[in-house]
Amino acid sequence: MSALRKAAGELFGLFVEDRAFALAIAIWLATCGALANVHVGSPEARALALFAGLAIILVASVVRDARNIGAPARTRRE
Amino acid sequence: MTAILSTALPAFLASLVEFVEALTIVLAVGAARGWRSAWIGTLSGVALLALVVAAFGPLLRYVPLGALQLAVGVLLLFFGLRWLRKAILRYAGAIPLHDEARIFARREADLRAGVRGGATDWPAVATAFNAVVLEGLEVVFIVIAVGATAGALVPAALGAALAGGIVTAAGLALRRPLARVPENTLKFSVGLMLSAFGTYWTGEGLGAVWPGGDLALPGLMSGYGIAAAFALTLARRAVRERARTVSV
Repeated sequence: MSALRKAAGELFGLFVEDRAFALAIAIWLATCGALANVHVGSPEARALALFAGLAIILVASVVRDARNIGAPARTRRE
Repeated sequence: MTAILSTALPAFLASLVEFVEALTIVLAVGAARGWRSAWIGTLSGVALLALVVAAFGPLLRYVPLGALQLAVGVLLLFFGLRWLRKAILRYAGAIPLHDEARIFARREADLRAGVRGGATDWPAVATAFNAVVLEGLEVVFIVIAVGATAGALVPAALGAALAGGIVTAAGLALRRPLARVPENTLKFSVGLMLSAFGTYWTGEGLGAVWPGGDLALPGLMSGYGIAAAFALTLARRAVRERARTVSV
């Protein structure tokens, strides 16, 4: 059972490393899905909004982590 | 030709990274605990992966294309953006670069310090098996993700197989980790590609329409490239500021 749990954890880890980052992506995808359901905006605008939101989440997450864990690499343990 | 390039290339590059990581651990097992254990673990892992593909692969044709695009797109997004984010943080110096030589040395030392488990060295076998299965699962996922949705599973699988062949041949010839593979650059490039694919398929699955159709894919890669460059600039600045604060 613990081996199964470990395997499931490893599988989960393939997609989720930083929970806040993954959660932000999931919320944005759910928002885009909800907007698509109620037909807000044109399909082309929704496509561009999907990309723009994800790109902003990427930049924000990188900057947040660089600030939080951004001590020079040589001084940190792996 | 477009399908081959847009599926075989990302599958090849992503698989190359995964195979190199698996090879490092298998080589450490072989060097520290004997090649018999390394081979048993590796071959058992490959057998399990073949079973998984044989069992679940044929089911793919029964999944409606829209659902497949959305599911694969979302998973690809999580996977690709995770790689991209990590590669940017490594370029910025926020986290250390992946060092195959150091990982090999550490694994080898850990394995040498361990106790052998009898005639067949089961802990060593399990280490090689785990590495092959975990990295192999990532390869299987990438091949399915970039191949199935584009209807180009064969080119994607061939791309991955080519990467596997090259890494295996190099590993057998050198018997040491492939430390010179520019892993972060590969991860960054593949992260860009997979994020673009993931965004594209997710959008399609959600009923969005990409301007320019398939031509939106290079546009998305460029868009993520610009976002990554911007993130890298800000991250480097943040790392410098933090280093200055720490040294004061």
